[in-house]
Amino acid sequence: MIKQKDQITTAQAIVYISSHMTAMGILTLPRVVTSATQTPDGWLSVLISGLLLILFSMVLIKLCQRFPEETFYQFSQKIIGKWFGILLSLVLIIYFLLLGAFEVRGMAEVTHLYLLPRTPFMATVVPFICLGVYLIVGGINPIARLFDILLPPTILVFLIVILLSLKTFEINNLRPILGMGVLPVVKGIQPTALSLTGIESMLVVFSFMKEPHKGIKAATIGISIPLFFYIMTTIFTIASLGVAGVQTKTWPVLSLFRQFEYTGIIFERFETFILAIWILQIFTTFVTCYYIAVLGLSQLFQTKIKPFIFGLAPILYLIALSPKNINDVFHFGNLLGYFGLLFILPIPLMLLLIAIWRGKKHVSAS
Amino acid sequence: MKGQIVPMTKWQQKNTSENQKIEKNDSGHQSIISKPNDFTTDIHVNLNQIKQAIGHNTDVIFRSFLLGSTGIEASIVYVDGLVDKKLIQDQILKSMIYDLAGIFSRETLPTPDHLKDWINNQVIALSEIKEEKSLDSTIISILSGSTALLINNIDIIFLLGTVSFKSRSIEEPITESLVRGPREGFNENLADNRALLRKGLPDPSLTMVEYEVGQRSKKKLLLLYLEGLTNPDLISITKDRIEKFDLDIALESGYIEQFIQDDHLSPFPQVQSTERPDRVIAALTEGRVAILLDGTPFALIVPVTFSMFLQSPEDYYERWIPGSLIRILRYLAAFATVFLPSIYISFISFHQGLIPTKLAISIAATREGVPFPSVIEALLMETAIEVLREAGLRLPRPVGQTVGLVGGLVVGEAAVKAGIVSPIMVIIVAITAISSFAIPQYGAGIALRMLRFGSMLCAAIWGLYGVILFFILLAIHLCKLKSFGVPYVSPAAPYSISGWKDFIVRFPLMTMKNRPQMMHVLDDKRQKDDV
Amino acid sequence: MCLHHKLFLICLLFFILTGCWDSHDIEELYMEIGAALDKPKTSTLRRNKEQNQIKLTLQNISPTQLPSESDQGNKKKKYQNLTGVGDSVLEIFREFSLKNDSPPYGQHLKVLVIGEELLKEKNLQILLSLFNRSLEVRDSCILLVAKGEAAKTLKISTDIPAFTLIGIGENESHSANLLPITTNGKATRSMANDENMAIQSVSTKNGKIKFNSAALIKGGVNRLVGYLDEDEVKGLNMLTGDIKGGILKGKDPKTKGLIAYNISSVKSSITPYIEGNHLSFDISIKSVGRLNEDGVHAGNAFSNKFIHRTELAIKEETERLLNQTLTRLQKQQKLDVAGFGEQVRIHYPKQWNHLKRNWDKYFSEASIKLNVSITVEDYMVKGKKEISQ
Repeated sequence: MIKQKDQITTAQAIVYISSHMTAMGILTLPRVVTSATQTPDGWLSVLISGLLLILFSMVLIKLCQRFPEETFYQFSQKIIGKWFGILLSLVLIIYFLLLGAFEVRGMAEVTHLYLLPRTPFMATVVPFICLGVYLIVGGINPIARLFDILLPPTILVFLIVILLSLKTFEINNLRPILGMGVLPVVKGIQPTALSLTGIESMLVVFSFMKEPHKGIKAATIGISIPLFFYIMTTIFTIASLGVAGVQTKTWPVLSLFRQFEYTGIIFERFETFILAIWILQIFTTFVTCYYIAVLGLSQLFQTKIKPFIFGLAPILYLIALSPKNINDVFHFGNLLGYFGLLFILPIPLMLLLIAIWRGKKHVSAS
Repeated sequence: MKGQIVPMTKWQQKNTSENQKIEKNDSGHQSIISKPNDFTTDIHVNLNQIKQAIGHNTDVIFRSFLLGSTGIEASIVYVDGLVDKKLIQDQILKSMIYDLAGIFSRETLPTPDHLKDWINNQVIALSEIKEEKSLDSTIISILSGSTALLINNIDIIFLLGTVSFKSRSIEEPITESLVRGPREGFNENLADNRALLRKGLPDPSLTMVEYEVGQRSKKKLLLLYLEGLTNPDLISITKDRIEKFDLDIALESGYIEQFIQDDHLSPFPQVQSTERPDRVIAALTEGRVAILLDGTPFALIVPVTFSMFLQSPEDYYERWIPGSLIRILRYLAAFATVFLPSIYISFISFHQGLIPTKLAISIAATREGVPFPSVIEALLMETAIEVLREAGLRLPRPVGQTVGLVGGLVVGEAAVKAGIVSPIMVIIVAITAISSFAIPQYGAGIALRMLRFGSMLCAAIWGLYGVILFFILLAIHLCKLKSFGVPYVSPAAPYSISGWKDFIVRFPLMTMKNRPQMMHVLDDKRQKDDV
Repeated sequence: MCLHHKLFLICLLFFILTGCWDSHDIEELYMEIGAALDKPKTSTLRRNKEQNQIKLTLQNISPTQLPSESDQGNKKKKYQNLTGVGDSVLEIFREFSLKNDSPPYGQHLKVLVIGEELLKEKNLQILLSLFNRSLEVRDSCILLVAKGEAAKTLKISTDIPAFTLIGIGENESHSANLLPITTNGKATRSMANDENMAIQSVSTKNGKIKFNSAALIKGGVNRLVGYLDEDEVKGLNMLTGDIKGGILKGKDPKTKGLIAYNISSVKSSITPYIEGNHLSFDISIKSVGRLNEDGVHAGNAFSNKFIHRTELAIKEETERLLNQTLTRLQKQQKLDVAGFGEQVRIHYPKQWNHLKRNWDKYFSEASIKLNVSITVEDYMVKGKKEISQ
């Protein structure tokens, strides 16, 4: 018991995946998807791309299951040779680094807009990154435990606040379902997929799983939880703001919670609660990205992890502050979405095929 | 009792049946050294040795006599006040001087071995008798209440168990009083405490390992666990930690706690201290390890989790619905203790738009004329209430109550009237203080009250964002913390169904069939499955 | 371990020493609770035609105005009205900050009243966005249109006029004459969709207010184009089904006595039909209520016959109201504010794309069939007034 290995249970893997997926995307998803569909059917697009993602994740998990106890950084070198492996690993590291920085920046933007309009970015970003450093130094187990703790309150608060928003729910805004046919829904899938990336973290985190054979179960449930968040948010936001209203708002989901007030309770306005749990979830995503990037560097160079932890913090800070305005941030996020998709389907599929073809498999020590 | 104790210069676990001591040297290898004898056959030499060590003390009594008519010189040494004098007179002196005379005489002098046997088996009617060869151990035994018996021609010393010390009777524990539950609490006497536990748990697997701590204080320390149930890794870790540290005196189990805890920088207690035998027994059957120290009513329980500090034995004695509700209340109180003032600060100094308009207006009206920003006001008030609490605690009870009254009512009222603080701040501070007292463990309460200041500072800098950051910081810290290998946040994380049955909600007892998963016990079942 | 703790402490210290960028104590704020936008009087307009197009009145509660315990006796006003004139809302604000020790704080703004003069000339969307951006007004702020000068509604002789306005606005369940509240967010949303809107309007007389009509805003241009009177508002509410209470008065067909019907609920459904180029609507309105009082002397509510008579009477009245409203909307104003367009969008989404550009024209040409059903479910404590022989 006492000497715990660096392993996570299946439940923790589920929480890990869902915490990593619930991130920036959720606040802008209704706008992004409705801009593409132009109909109230956006939530169907979200559902379909979520199901597709579960399908894709199986390829990814199958690949990982051939090499249990090994991260992408290690097995990619075995499959396609040392140099290509290192190259691919570096690309993955850069991806996670950028994603982490993007999450921090997005968090800073929202905080700046809704909570602290006059506080400089530095003052919100630096403590956030410091907290990340403090957590990551502890390794995978404290990270997984923290995610475990943060998920239940997130779900609870989310459900309560989203049910409160029934006050502005107008079912007519969601009708007609499939009024313009299936085409708009198909159009909505691609932008939605960008917000739903996150399963690619399994390329690395899978190696920590105590029961690798339950990988597909973990991925399926892990994707379903954020998918539920995303669909609920999309439905409620469109129902409350309408197709046109959603498209005009920068952060439609936060606008949704600013629509209504309840007088007579201690709190009149509830967007703060959503903001609070959202910041918690952003933190989990940020930490995952940060940890995976740092772990990758330490495995590539086969050195200790700590120097990289401290070394990457300022780099993250600089990347986070590099976009000039909010449009740049959104653009940055879009690019990262494509980048992430690359690691969800094409690369794992390619690696899996090569591995099968070359008969590469992890030879377990026992 | 499993191990027995042999006093040595450096206390160590020891087995007396062998005349050898096992000592761990620096590199951790074990070596066997045969034990030298400090004593000679000459009683005067032996006596002098003892006299040199402790003879200058007026409370050490040397009493020489002759063994009846044999004319063999003998002597007893004891410390006045620590021994039962009646016992010495009736069972030692009387029998040595009179009874031996009937058996031996000057003419039939017994051999030393013979005499030894006689003394052991026939003369002295005491339950505890021990032969000792080491001077240091002898002296320590004398100083802790044994009587040393020296006899000419015998090169060992008999240590006779004559300890008699006035101890407090078993009373209700003051720090952990319950409405419903046993009224017994530990006292300062280890034997009494041990007896209380034996009485509550007459299970043969209850194992007590004895240690001695403090180079000078030489306190007895008991390590208790259930053999065959408690995880052996946990036992060995605990033993390891107890054996590792070295200190001069151990006045209270707090000394031990600070040496065996995992993280010295953490504000959270990582060892649970309790005065209640029922609590210790419950912990033992959950697969935890308990530590008792002589001279203090506070037993230690390891490993602990954060949730244990918000639990009271009463949760289990009450029916499960009220028990669960009260437990939920405690979690809310703990949250309020840390975050209420900071949330208040962030609302009235940063996000005034988030409070209802009418409330905002009335808060603004009450704050009119207050010269300080809300942070300073809150810090002032919180500090004041901490001082008040401390003052009330240390003073004799009637005075303490007066301090509370004067401080709370008079000064508070006057401060509000004078416009130095706003009445709402007084309410917030009072709620916070009361919430902190609702936490059943004193140590955990202090930790949370301390953290409150941190969260207030964060709120003063970043408003609500600061509160969130502080929450994350606290969560990270708790997640990183481990107590004897068990994650401090279990059973919240990692998820465990059996753990959640006894977490925020206390499920009915019949559903709690298994012991907590986090303890990784050898015997998992608490109840038969088919019941 | 130690290193991280030190690092953290250093960071924390750094922020404590430099921090508190956003901290303002609550009592130092000028909390705006109501605002009124008007067109300034011509005298101020004289200098230049392009200048000073907006007059802004802000009602704020600042704690200095609040009566404290000591001076409970004297009747101080609890609020303060600030008025400024300028080209843009931002400019007026700047002026306010020069006059007061702290800038206006808009997060508690509960009600915004817009004067009819201004609304006839200016696009509501532009007005609102200017206003919302410079004051950070919440989406849940209530919008009202004032008949006459908007500033007057903030000067009525109640305790705090802005709260009175909100209070009346929320009385929806007692009156069928009140439109559902139009919030800032809802208005913004409708305007984004180029939808027409009906906003509750207020009139002031002798320092008293009355919520008695609805202002019609034409989508796209977002200007005030007309009003609905009290009866028409009732009709509109019937059409949209947004009635939670209120009274309908009818006349007993036999005795011409007065019958008061207390509405419990109204369900309305609008079903559009497109056949070729012809657009038609079926409106079905089902109302359940109770008989409140009747002026029919011999009325016996214990008999179903009389109940049917009253139901018929109320049905007639409802149809009258609906027809009046529909005539007003369809033929006179040519504006759809009752959600006909939305039903077309839902039922004929493909055709809607062609119709929506000129929707108001199509709407005015559509034929409408009414189907009203009234059910009296109970008649309070008294069934009849006299025992008939």
